[in-house]
Amino acid sequence: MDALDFLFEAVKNSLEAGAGTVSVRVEMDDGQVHVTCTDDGAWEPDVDHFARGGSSKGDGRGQGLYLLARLDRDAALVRAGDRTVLTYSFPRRLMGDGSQVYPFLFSMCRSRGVHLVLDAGGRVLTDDDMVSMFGDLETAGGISGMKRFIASSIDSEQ
Amino acid sequence: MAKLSLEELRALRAKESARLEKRDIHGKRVHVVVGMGTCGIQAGAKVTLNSIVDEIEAKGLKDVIVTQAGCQGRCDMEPVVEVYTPSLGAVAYGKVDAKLARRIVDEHIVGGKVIDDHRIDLEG
Repeated sequence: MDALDFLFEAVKNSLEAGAGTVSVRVEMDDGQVHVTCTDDGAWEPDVDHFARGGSSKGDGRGQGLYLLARLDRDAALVRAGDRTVLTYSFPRRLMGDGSQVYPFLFSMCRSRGVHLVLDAGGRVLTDDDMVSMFGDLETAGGISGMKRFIASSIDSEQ
Repeated sequence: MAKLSLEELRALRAKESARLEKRDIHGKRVHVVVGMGTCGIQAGAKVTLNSIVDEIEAKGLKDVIVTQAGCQGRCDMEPVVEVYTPSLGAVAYGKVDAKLARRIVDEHIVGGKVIDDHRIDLEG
């Protein structure tokens, strides 16, 4: 799994926590990619979020953050005010392709009525921006439009 | 109940025609669900998901919805893809790589035929 693959997990966790807005930031420096996922959902204080199976959501859950922590020992999940913040870093060579990931994050959030703000490649994009450009974000046509746009506007800058 | 005027009927027909125009696959909407739990992603579900979207786009199919699900309890069969069509109902496929993803679009969604040798039971 590459750095951006874990965003599927992170955003899914945010949605399950009842977030109304999810913010994803992807930054580069010194050969590292730094990912931050912030949401305003609920916080489970008495859970070891990085433990294998450390989820209150049932059997077979709690694998994503466990795996992430094995790949980045400095990965952190903290509560800051009324926000939950996940941070992790990977070597840049393991970043992955944004056009293969970001469109599906927009689609996943929009389908649940949750706002997504993406800050990557020097651009800030919201789900509203995507809807205005590509229409229904759950259709293959909408997703394909986002893929092309992100490949040319974000991936090409990173 | 008040009768519709001729103008209202025409407006309704125009609206419905526009809606039906979008439904060009067996006359109904098609829904594809790709399992994107940790087990699915580790097994290559991202490639599967992108392949399905790319093939639907390449075929010019309209009104196909593609969404994601979490782990569906068949980690041994990931990547798992479910396809819902009005004519075939819900059908699940296991170990769906890019090649099989394209076959699902071609044979199941467009052709209306289940690919039996890759079908799995999600209840099992």
